[in-house]
Amino acid sequence: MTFDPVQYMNTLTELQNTNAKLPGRIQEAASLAGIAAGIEWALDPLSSSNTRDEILNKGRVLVDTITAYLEDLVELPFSMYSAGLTWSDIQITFGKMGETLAGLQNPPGEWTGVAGGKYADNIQQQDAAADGMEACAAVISNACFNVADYGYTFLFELLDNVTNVWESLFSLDPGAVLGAIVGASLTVSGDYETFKTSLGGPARALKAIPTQGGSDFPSGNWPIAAQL
Amino acid sequence: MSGSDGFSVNLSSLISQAGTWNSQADQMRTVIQQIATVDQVGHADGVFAPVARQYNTACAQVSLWCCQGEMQMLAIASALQKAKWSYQSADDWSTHQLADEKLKIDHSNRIHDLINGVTRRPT
Repeated sequence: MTFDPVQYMNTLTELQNTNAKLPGRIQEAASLAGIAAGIEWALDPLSSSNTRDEILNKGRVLVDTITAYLEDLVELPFSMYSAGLTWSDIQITFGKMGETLAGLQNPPGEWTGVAGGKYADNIQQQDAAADGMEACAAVISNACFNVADYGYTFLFELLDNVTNVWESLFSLDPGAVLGAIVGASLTVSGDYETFKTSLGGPARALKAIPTQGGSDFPSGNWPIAAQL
Repeated sequence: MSGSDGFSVNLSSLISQAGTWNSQADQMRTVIQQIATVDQVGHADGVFAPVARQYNTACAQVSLWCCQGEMQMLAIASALQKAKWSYQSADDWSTHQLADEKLKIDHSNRIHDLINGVTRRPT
């Protein structure tokens, strides 16, 4: 999903609100399960049911898990989206710079002789360096946008699962409530692993940047053309 | 300016190109400032921590390259200006030299004439 700041904020707010309401509703559903268990016990004293406790315990774990994920999701996707826009601008700047520097490849005004020749030789890689920087900026920009997009996708999936649980809590069937909570917990856990794995892509792309040209860039630094 | 030893140069174009290098160095400075506004994203821990660390490192490296580029561009612009001044001085010096030579020849001719005048006394 493509990150959009307004949609992300709306989704985030909806998830926070729903998750905040879950504990109260889970308590009510657990009470209903307790009543049902009591009736069941009255009818058959040998039967035992711990559905009430399971709803409470598993529901609490789910809410805590969502709360922990939300802490991560509140800020960073916004920061990365904003950074992606800045790096996109920087990419454009380097693109224009590369074109300008390519136009300087010939010595100015028929500048011949030893100095003019040396100048021409020594500035050869300047536009290539700017092009290399343009490529780096593109990688960083894409990585930033990807992180924001993955964050948005995960957030949306969390909301989907929490909404399902929320709706199940109005069921009068304690087994259905417990099933929804357990199902959502499993799905959220799987979604989290997928999300974590997907973040490895941009992380690897970013990790490769400092190794381009070693400590200098590209292949031996911005070339020195000043030693005429 | 041109010379019989195989070089020629348009001094004003040296300065023009130096200006272009200077403006590109300014662009580089602007980029460095832009990076400084987004070069640290948070999260020491949590799911985003690994990617945030790599991002911060990449920003620092690109910023360093930009500083190198800015320095090189300023040095190139400075070299072009220096070359212009050197050629200009040489040009000025040559003009004086020519004038001096002409003066010397004039003096020489006049002396020669004087000598001849002395030796060719009117009869």
